[in-house]
Amino acid sequence: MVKACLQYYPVNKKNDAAFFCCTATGIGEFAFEKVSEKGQRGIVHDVFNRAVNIILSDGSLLSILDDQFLTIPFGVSVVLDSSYSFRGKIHAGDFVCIDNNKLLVKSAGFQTEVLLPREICFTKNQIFSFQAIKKPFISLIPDWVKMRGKKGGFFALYRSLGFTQGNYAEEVNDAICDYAADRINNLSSFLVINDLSNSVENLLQLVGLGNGLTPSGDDFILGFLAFLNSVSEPIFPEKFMENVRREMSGAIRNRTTTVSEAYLISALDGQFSEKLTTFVAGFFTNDSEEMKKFANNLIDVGSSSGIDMILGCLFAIRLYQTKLTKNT
Amino acid sequence: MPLKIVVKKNEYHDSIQLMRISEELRKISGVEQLMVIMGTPSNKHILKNMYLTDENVEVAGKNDMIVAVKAESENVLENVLLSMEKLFRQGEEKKKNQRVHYSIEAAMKALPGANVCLISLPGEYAIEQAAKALDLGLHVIIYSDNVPLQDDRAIKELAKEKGLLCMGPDCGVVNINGVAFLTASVVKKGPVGIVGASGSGTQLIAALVEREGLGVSQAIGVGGKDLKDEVGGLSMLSGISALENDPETSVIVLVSRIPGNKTLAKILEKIKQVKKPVVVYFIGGDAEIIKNYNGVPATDLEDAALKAVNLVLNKPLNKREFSLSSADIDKIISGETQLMRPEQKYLRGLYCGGTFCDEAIAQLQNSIGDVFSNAPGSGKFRLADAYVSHEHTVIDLGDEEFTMGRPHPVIDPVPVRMAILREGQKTDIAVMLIDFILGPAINPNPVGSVISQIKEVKEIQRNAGGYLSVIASVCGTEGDPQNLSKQAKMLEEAGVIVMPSNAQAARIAGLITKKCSSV
Repeated sequence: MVKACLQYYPVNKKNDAAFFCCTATGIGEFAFEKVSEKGQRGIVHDVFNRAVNIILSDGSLLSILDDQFLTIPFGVSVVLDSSYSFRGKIHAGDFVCIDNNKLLVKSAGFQTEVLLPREICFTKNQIFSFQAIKKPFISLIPDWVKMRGKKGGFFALYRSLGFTQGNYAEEVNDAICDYAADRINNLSSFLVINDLSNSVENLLQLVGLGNGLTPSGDDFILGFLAFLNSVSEPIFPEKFMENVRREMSGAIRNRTTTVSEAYLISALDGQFSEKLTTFVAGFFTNDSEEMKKFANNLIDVGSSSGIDMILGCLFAIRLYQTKLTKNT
Repeated sequence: MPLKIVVKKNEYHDSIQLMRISEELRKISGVEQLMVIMGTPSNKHILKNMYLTDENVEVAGKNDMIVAVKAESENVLENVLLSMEKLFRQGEEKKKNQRVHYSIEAAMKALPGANVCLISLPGEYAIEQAAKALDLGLHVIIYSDNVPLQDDRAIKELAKEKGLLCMGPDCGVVNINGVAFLTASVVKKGPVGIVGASGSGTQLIAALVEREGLGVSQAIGVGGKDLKDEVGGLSMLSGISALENDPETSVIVLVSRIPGNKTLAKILEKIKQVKKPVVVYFIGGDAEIIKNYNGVPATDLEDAALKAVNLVLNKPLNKREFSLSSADIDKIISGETQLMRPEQKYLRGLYCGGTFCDEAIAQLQNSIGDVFSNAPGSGKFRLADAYVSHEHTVIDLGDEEFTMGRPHPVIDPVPVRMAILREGQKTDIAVMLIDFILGPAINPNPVGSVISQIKEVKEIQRNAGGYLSVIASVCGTEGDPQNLSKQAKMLEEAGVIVMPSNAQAARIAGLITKKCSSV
């Protein structure tokens, strides 16, 4: 991921259309790969206040989003004025072209131009030894979630999935959560005995499960994969996770929302959002304040997306603990 | 049973918003099942398992939102769909009408002349913004909790230095110049000023003052931790000074849990210096000490309100046990106990207001003895698990065990509902004691949110050959959007005994329980 210096261009008149131009401050690996392809074209899929999703001609997703979200694998980050909104300036169906390191969105009466970085220096996901994990952080997380006033999603299952650390309880009375709890419990059992096909089957049943732009099941999987991706000790037989990823990649299309699918595809390729990556790395720092900051950044993502990812991480940590204990 | 499926193409909504809308729609009478969900294969699988599917669901895409509802009639279905559209529209309108400012300075530019800043941020960020507001010359109300005590004190010292009021952290009830902030009730203006470290206590005193025909000049909330020695009661002391200098205030009322020793000494000293009468209700406080410092001690929240009113009206300060005659009270007790089974012996109190919970325990101990609770200060009668009652039990549903990760029960009624169902079905329960709190910023229909559960448990006890006595009090005013009379009427129609104050409700609940325990 790259952080370029911020450069603003004033809103101006150009060809009788209002014009907004800025330099990207960050770009994900997947996005960099895509914008580097010559003559890339796309169509705006959906527009939010602080983000625009574009479907490229090969069907993949590219997002322009406010820097406050930090970098995501398929995202181009820009710094927006606090009052700036893409709504009304860009519309679903608008044509997008990417040429000469510029991303241009033409809309009726408005043009948006993002100057893309020419060079990047990737911060690869770091790999840690599980033995170095700071266990006290695990029990602090439920309190941090509570302090941010977050609830819902699959994190509501925290207690019913048998997590006992910290002081978090939410009553669950929801058909989706009940179904998810069964899938997650099954997943745990099958991963412990290295049952590939049943593990994949239960992961796939979580895909697209829940509500919102990124359903809770997908966010849970992202958290789970992000943690596994960052730890060095092998807990599965050789090529087990490779096979899980391969089978998931083959079966994931059209199982979830477009945005969520892009996150999952990137995750299966080992790429995660900056907020999730730094959160996982936080478990291996010595600084609890730093970890709290990383956790809060992730907790604040979406209405429940962040805490669903956290649940996925905690699930992965518990799996590590179980399997390492079993192996010794 | 008719089923209606609506698919909204390529539509996303925030999942918490969908949860709230679903909750509202499920309340419509005649709705059997309802799901609002994205059209992903996994979600469609769930709908299929719930028999909430048709050909529209089959063809819905992964980016489409599906609304599936099963109801007792086509009319109900129509009603649900109309209500749903209205709720989505309301959300959009609300967003459009919101004036969002990204800094206190920007908000001040947009609203020149504002002199109060309300801060509701996670605790760790609240103090920095409060300091900024004070620097800009604004009084502050800090709703946030989880603020360390040293920060609580520091921000109050800054306010004192600047001659401004710092209401909070952890402050939920404030009425300033007739404006109800946060969870306060809408109260008429009048001569009684209140300074409270207890939100629900402040609110009930204000409401009862209005019911007695007067009104409130200012109700200054100071936050639950203000009277701890680490903070030193700085806001209560400033509040007393403000009311002393306020020409519209004739009598001052102070309400709190018992302060730290050093702070108590400072407050008492201040009371002694104040020229206006000061009524004091410190739960568990020593009445004689308060009298020694020229304070007027009260025995409960209602007593505090009545004493304040009587001081203004220059009437005798008599205590009132019940608003009804003793003959009427006896009649209620006998009516409520005659149909109970012999094993129905125990009282279960379900409270949203922390101070009401403490007050109820204090009242009940006089009539039925030991009361188990999750409330702080329960000592050896503290419940091991707040979800498991034991003999006479009073539960504070606003405690962290129930609010962890979800809004307070005055906003989100789910913990109250669950507790009613959990406790109301037990074979040994005789009396359920329950409080309701009204106000513009809280649950728009607190009684309506749980009334079907109350009816259900009453029915369960009736079917088991017994009777469940439900005693309630409603803290609020006629001016509150929920309307005091309407909420009380809803309870009475369900066979609930509604008392005019929490103390009276607890007293009569104690007498009913005592009678069935002695049979």
